[in-house]
Amino acid sequence: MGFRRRLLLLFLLAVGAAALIWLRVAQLQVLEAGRWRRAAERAREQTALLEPRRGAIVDAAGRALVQDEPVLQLALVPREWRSRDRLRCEACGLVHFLEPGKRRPRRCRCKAGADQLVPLGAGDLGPLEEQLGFPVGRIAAIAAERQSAIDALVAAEARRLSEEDGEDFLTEDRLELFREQKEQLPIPLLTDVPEAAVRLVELDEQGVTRGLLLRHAHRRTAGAVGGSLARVLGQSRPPESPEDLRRLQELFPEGDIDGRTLMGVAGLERRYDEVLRGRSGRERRARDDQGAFSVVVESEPPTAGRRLRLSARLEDNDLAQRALVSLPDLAAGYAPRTRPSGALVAMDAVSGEILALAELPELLPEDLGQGARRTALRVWPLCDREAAAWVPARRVPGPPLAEAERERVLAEATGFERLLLPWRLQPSVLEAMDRAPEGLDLDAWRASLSLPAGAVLSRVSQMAVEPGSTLKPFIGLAMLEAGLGLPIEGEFACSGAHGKPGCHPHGPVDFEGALCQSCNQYFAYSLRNFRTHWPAFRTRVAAFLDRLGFGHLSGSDLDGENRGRWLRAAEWGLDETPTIHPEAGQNVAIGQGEVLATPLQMVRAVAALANGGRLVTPHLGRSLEAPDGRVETLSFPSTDLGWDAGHLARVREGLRRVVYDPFGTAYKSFPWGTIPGRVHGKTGTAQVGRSFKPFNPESSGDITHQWFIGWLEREGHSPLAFAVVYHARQEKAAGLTAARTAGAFLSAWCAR
Amino acid sequence: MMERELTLGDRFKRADWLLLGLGLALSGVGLVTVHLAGVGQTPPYGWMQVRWTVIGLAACLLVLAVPYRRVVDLRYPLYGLGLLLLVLVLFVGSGKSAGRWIELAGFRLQPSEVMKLLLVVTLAGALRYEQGMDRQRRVGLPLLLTVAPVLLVMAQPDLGTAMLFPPLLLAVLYAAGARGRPLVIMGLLGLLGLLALWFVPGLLHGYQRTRFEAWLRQGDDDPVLLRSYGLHLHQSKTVVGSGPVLGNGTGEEAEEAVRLLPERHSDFAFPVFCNAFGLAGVSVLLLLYLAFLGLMLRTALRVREPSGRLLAVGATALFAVQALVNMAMTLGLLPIVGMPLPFVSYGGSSLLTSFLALGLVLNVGAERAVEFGRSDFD
Repeated sequence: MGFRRRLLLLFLLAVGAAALIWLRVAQLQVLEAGRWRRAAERAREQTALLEPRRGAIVDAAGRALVQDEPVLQLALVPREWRSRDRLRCEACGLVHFLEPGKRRPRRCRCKAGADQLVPLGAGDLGPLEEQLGFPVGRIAAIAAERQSAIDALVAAEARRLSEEDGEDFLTEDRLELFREQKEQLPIPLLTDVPEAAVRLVELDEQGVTRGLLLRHAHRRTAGAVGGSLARVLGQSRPPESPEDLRRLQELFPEGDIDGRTLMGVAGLERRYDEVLRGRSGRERRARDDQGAFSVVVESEPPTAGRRLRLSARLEDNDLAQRALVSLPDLAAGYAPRTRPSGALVAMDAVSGEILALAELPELLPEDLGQGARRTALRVWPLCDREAAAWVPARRVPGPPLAEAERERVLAEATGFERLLLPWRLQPSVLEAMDRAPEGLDLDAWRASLSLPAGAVLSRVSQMAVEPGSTLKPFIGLAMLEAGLGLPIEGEFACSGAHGKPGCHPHGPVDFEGALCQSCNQYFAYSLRNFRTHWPAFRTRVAAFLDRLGFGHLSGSDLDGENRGRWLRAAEWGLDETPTIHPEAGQNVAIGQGEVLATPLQMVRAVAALANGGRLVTPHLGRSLEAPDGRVETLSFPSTDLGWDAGHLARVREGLRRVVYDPFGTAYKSFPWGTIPGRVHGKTGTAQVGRSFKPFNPESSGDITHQWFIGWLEREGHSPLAFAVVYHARQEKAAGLTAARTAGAFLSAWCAR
Repeated sequence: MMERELTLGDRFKRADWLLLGLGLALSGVGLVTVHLAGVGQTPPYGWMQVRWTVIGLAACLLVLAVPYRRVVDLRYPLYGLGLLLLVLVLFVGSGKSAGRWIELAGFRLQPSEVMKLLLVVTLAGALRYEQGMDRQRRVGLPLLLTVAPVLLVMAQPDLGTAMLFPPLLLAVLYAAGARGRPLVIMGLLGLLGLLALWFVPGLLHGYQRTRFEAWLRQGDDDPVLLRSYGLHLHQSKTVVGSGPVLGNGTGEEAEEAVRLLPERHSDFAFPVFCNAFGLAGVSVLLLLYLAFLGLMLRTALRVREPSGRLLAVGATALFAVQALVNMAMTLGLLPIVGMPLPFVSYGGSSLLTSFLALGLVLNVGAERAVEFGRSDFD
């Protein structure tokens, strides 16, 4: 081939390649022009999210319990922050942060020369610190702490990638991206930065300091809300974990969330998160001459979240709280080193609105604070939604402890801890104990979780215990509804001769009298003599209580509700042989053993007796109020249980006599004379001490649960259903303390 | 009878001024493009490009004044000097992603850029008297001469520039009359080398491997790929594709359109040109390049002296491969490598090398038929 032809071939190669390039440019600029122009538009502009104000939660009278306030927040961006030296201007006091690798400033903003910029030691405080009330010197330590936490996260992510996907050539890049994302997440250092300090934060010549971010945020602040309501209000905080983000993304597929978005993580804040959050606004910004996205092209303002109005008034709630704590002999009834524990809940029996809710021990969020931040702490780690799962079940998988070990644990345990059956904490509790929320003292957090004495648990909705004799009205009504012949039609002679604790010689009692005097033998022991009742009991009676909500979530808006315990159909042996022994069934009939209920479940059940047989859904939220004034009343389902009016009247009469009959169990302790209305009630004492092992073989402690449930009828008012429980040491109190508390509450309620 | 040596006046008179004009036209395109790309950037790349263009032009004329055969005669000392600089840069090099520059009295020299031209000169000298079947067996020396700078440049690491050397060798060998078999064998060896790069651990850096992967997976929404490597290519295509067919011009609109593109003044100057002048401008630019290459090849055809011929072919290959690879990579047709667009991209070493190469080809053109080989290249 001649030289000329060779060169011609080379040239033709170049022409071919040039043609290919021309075609490619034509493809991009002609065929795909629209796509690339849109991409260019997106690159030229930036959309910023405008954080909405989260809706307030107010009580029935409109008083703010929790609300958002706009604040300035100082945050640390670990990726941008590197350990820096500080210079203080002797002339004006301004603190300069020196970026690594950058030269010292030649002069201060006040024009003072370099000779007046003197180095600050790590412990020195400048005017910035004084304004902030925060030692800026600590930032380096905080950043280092965060860095080591991020290192651990990256190591965990590396393990995960290696296990799940196997390593590929992008693994290092993935890890680097993961690290970068973590390091870019700002750590709030201070909320509500004073305006005077803002000027001092802008430190370098460009008016910014890399690594320190000053931004607008909202602070969730609480009003004068008591401990009990605070607990059920729950908490909201920015997303902290991938799980948090996933949840937010499910709620808001349009993606209008960012690192500052507050999300409800517990309590009512979580339950009503969607409506409280509101909708983020958007601001389209174009670049200015300096390349910064500062020119607002289009703005869509955020929509504030709706306001949640509760059905309870703060004053009424305080009243319930006072009634719960004011009994003088309360402390004496408690086991050593155990704080009083109990609950009172009052509910409109017709609508299901919760009107008062009090719990012991009270929750004081500040008690969980750490060191100097204790008094300033504004967190609400309240009724953690997992708490219900932490309540030790009556049956925990795994082999029981050896007897010797059991005795040792019992000897070391105090008070309520002895109720942790069967003497071991569930793994989820142990895990939770090591996960103290940021800013909380670990020991205080652990103590708050030491159930059931810890303060985090909601006694109203999350702590399920044996209801004792308060279950008898429902067992009785179930027997009537089931068409069972009562132990002795018309009259039953209780000899009290069975020798069982809690069995008293009541003499001849009828159905109403058995309720009035809370006769165990009538409801339970007699079943031994009526074997023919057992099949009906384990089928129809059991189904009756199941339908009444025992063993089920009530559907309440109180977060993290405990479903309690009621034997499932299989356990009752509805289809085949029952797994429960008749004797255990007798125990259940008097509210002990295989039955656990929360005060919320009890007040719901007793409300059905009060309102004529309708099962309502307890709820604390009453209405949602939009920023434009529109009000949406919340509705919750209710079910007509279809009870026979005659049967219901017999039960109601029995409960009336509990209070007003001289033989009634509450007659002596209940201040019925002070209450302008008619009260029906039922006492109950669930003895779960060791002496009751035949009935409750898994019990370990000597605690009793004292109950009083019932309702108040007044002219012109809906019936007010209530449930009171104390977890006390007195074994034979027969719910007297609880009845007195209920009386004190009802007196105050009627007098308000 | 020996022809008398050409005077300086003869050289200027006989130089291919159209070729120089085309080179200057391409430089003009570069000045406009770099000026547009440099808006808002520091240092002022536009003015610095003007400075380098003037220096380059001066160097070009200087080279025109010196008989190219003297340069070819000095090929081995020059080649050795080039290798020395490449070794030196491994120890004292500076640069953002790889140590590629040597700081020298306020100037930054990129030895690999200079080495491209030195290799062309060396190959032209080494192959000028190789004839007929001999050439088929004697490709060992040129191969060795090429492999040495390839390895050193790869060690910087600068894979893009290293990949440029083998095409130069192939083009010069082909022009020198090498037959198909050695060329095929060398092509296969090159392919094997590429496969080894990919499969033998440690030969490629992680980012190089990932760049290639990102190129293969254009349009993939893997956030790591897109963020770390695909983003650059995506932005490049966005700048090209968002420009109208007749271009945005060089006003604010174009400035705004290219603002987000990294390295827009250097390796990614072509997308800036595409946006500013559109497909119409690209057509003109491609024609300019083709005419430029064509004139260089015409010079090779006209001259009878073998080293001059090979020098012109080598320089043509140098310009062609650089230009085509640069444009192709910014359009997503090839993986992204660090390679400037001759005369257009900002870069002192690159511009200087381009003008020196142009000066050598002008020099070759000015000294037509000064010495004959024993036979024509067949």
